Amino acid sequence: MSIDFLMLLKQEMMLIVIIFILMFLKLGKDRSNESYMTIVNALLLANVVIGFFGNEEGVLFAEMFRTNKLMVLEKNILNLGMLIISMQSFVWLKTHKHVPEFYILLLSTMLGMFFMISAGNLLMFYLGLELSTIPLAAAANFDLAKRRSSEAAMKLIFSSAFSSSLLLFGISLIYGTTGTLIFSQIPLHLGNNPLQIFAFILLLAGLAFKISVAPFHLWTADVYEGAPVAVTSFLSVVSKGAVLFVFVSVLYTVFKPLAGAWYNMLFILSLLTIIIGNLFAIRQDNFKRFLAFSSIAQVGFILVGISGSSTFGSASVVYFVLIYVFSNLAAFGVISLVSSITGNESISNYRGFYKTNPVLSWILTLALFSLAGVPPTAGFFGKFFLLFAGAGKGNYWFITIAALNMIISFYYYLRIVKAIFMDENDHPIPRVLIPLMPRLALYTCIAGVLAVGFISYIYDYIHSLSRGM
Amino acid sequence: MAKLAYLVPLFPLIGFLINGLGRKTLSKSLIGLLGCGVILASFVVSVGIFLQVKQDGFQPQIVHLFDFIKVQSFNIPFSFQVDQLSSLFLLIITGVGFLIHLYSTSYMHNEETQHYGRYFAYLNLFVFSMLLLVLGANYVIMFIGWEGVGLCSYLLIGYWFKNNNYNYAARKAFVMNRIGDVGFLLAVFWILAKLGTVSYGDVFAKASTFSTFDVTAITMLLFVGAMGKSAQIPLYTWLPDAMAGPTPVSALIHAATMVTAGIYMIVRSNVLYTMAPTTQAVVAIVGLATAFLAATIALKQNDIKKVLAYSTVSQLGYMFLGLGVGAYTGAVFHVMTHAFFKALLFLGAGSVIHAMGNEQDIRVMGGLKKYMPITHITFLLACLAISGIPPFSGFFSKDEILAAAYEHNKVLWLIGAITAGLTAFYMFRLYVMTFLGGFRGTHDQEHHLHESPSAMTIPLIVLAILSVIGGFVGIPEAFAHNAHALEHFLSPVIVKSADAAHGLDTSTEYMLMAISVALAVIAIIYAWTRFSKKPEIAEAEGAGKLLANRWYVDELYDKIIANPLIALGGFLKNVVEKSGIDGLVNGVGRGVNYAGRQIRLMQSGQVGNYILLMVLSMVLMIILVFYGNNLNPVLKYFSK
Amino acid sequence: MSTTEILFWFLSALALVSATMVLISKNPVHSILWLIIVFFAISGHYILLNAQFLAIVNLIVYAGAIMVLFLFVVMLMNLNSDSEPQKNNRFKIAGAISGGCLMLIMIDVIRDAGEVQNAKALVKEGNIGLIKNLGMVLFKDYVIPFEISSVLFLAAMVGAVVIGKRN
Repeated sequence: MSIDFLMLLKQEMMLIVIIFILMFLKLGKDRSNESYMTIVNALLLANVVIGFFGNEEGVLFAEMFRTNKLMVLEKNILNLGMLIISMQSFVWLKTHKHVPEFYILLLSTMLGMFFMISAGNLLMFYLGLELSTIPLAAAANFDLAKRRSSEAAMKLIFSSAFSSSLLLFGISLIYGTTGTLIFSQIPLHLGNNPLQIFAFILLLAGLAFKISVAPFHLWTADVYEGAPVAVTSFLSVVSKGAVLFVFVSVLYTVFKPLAGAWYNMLFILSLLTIIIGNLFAIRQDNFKRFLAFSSIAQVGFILVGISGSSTFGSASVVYFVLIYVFSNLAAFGVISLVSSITGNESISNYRGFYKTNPVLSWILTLALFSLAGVPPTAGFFGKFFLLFAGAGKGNYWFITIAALNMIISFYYYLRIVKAIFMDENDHPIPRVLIPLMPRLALYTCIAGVLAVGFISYIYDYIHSLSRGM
Repeated sequence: MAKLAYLVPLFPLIGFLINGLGRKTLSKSLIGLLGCGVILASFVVSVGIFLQVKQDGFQPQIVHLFDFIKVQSFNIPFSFQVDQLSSLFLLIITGVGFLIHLYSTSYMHNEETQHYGRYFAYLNLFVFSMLLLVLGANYVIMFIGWEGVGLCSYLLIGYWFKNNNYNYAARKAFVMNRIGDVGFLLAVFWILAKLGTVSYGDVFAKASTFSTFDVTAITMLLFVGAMGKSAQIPLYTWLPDAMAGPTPVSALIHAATMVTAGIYMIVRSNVLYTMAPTTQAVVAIVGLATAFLAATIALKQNDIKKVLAYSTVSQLGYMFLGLGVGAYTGAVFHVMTHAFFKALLFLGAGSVIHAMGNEQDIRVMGGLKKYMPITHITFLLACLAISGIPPFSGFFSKDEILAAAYEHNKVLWLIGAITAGLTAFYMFRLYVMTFLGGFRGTHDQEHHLHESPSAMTIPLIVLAILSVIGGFVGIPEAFAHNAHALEHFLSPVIVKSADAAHGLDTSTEYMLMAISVALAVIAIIYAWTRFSKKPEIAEAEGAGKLLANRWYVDELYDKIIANPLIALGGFLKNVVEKSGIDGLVNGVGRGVNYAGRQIRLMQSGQVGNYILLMVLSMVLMIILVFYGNNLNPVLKYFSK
Repeated sequence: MSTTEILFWFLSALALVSATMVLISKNPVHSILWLIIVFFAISGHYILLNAQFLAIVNLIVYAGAIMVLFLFVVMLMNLNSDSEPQKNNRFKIAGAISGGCLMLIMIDVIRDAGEVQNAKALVKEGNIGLIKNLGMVLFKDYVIPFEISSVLFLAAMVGAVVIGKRN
């Protein structure tokens, strides 16, 4: 075990260390929830910071685990998302009975995601995927008093079990036809064999479920609505982001020989996703459900970017996920704060929000603008690069329809902004005092939304890392 | 020193920002100090640049600031070109500009502090834009300045924004400018399309690759831009209306600088114009027609500023005449001398208006010379200069243009000379009715009459001195051999046309000079005698009425252009907008809403249904991939 | 037809019929019993493929532990056919059709897959399924998945305890 070994596994090691610290803390003397949260947040912050240093590339354990600079960056983005979510759920967790368990579950999920991203072997990939789903289903039940929470967890488990089985079937068929499970060797054996294409479709279906691509998105709204806000934001941002990263890298490296087959599928899936996401989002009144559908539409956009060429596709997806982390978490942060303090979750209750909570209104507005894609927020640049990557294949009708759908999305995002600023309300949501940690988290998100748009170095850096794809 | 060229526009920009942002907090004296100080600083730098440029063997320098537009191989840098032409214009703009700023500190003294600050901010912004215009190293930077001066002209004409008529005047100026700008832009696009570059150096070097049609079109379009900015027929009616602004504004913008932008632009593009004799003919004819028309209108105007406005239009016509016959140096010379005496005339008029308590009608003035000696003397000197009496500056510049016109076409010269006579006549009509004879105003006004404070009279004096001696930089061949310093100075920038004879023999030149001076003197004497005896107070009639109503040109424009456009706008608003566009947009919205409602039924809440739908879609996907793809072996299997 | 082939066809038919009966049975306890038979059939297949360890573990874990748990839950909650909500007929037909389509496609695809048809199960080689070999592979090549699965169990346990614990 050399130092290289530790450096390569650095981020996974950090997570395991944190899980263990939590377990030991729980076994020790009784602590207040606040102290747990402070400790965990400090550890998570250290995790994010360490993630920026000493990045190396390499392969371990007979290609079970491989890493390169892009993967380290992706994992760090997820770490950042986790940290922000953790800070934002401060209010909700303060009165919860099972704080360390919550963190252990989420951190195990993250561990699974990391191994999934770094997988070099289909088996490892599958295991990582499972590890990233099951604890999350348990976490979805964490509003123990509410029936909706249990319902959400049930739906999540059923749907993910089913899609996992599809995925596993696909994996086994691929093993059967190529004779190997190792990522670097599979493309050598892939041809235009129909059985392999069939296996690929099954794999695609399994992954599509996790990223809520239509028509595999039906579980999203119910689960997002029922689960506690922290878990919803985790699902919506971190989980989706991780699977997107894997999707991108698997698609471009392992399934490159099948490129002709998946372009058409991606094209249709993405259009379907954008349109369905938009149509549903227009009619929503529950904020969490609304954000669920809007995130479905966003994923549709990401598929537009993926369908283009590999370097641009990969770079634009990573860039967009980073921006999506910030903007979505900002929106979720505001909602979680309002929901835990006042219990209000419906959009019509947000009318006149500006009169009582100007700061939160502005944060929410900026987040919605970034999600909609209004320049100069980062969301605009993210969408721009996605469309730019997607246009690489020359299918301009596709890009035009996607762009036109952006207009529809503008409608439902700006409807909320209008409600906040311009509508009258006799009983507006009362003034919410924002404690320190959520405040820090919200400011970080807003800073991210603004800065990532302006600092072009970030995109250039990501692009340079994806060159190898 | 040329490397510091960026300082010249930078100072006024700083002045604009500080005065603009701080107009509610700074004191009036501080605003005035800052506003004038930055222009003075620019002037100092301009002098330094000029001294460097004046040395023999100076090559034009490009000072690159930053990349403005850079898309692959298409590059438009934000750079300044320091050469003889731009350094000369820098001096004129900053020098005359400084004097006018100084004058304004006293003229605008009665304004509220925040409006005072606003005035100086706009004035500084104007100088900044004008400097960008002349310093730019390519047509795009020139256009930025071009637009900027148009904007500032609008802002300053409508300075007293509470009066709606002034606002209409400002709007008219802006709109007419914009019409010209379309021509300018088309020309720039044409150049870009043909050559792929807009930098002066590159364009002029590659100019020989233009076809005649190209270069004629480009130069015509550029001239359309100049027509708008420099008030030539048919886009000149905004300038007299622009007199609604404060008098120093009229002096700076509508006499000395902005209106000369068109001339600058044509002189800068002289390489292109020499290649397009058709355009040059058009320029000359339009210029001459404008000069003549404006002079005739000025004969019957009774507002002191309107007379000067039409005089400006007329003199600009002269400059274009000069450009049209290839006398680029002459046109630049006239720009310079015109800046001096026209600014002086306007500032003097401002002094008179100030003394008369904001009265502008010359029919109620008279005999002001004993109350305002300095204003009187300087005004007289300016009138002599503009009439072309030697040895004042106007004589040299005007004569150079007329001599070049004579070489070209005797008819041009003839009409030009007649116009010169008319100029002398109406200027002295103005002078006599204002300063000589007895006072025709009210008793109150008479008590109020006084000489202006020194902040106003010092610029008058300086400009008067310049109007007197300014001509000596351009002494023609007839008087002294090789003494035309200005021509010598500008020769690297101006290409000599192949057939420029430049050899009127001395006797012809003397004769021409004699004729024009004689015409001027006769006109002066006639005006002096006629108007000092019987000032023209009655309403005009007959032919005079036509002139007094400015040939009804404004009314004509209203009828044939403005009214149809307004009708079209109304139609578009009521029919196309309401039924067509709104209907389409709202229809799309309704459609999407409907689709949303229908599709919602898919989300039933039962997991089993979800999974069923997932499987169904997967099956569909498989069918799509296998049976929708021609290269598929399974399909081949079925067709076996 | 050799013994292995007869056994293969018999076990496959048994598995398919039992699986269909799991879906069709009205009584949940019957469904579970049919499912146990499916597991036995699959274990039989494993033995045919020379994976003895896998066969035994399949029986012990699935048929033994998991199905017993299912039976407990069903009996404790007294789930009977009358308390089950009736599904819409439309969905049943749709499900049957999509399942049928999938089966047809799969047959189609496999028929055309050359290498799968030619590969034979390594029935003759005895070493593959031995526990010793399995252990070596598990701890040498596949050690990371092995360890990660332990984390998975831990997380699942934590989750289950949190959800199930009575206050």
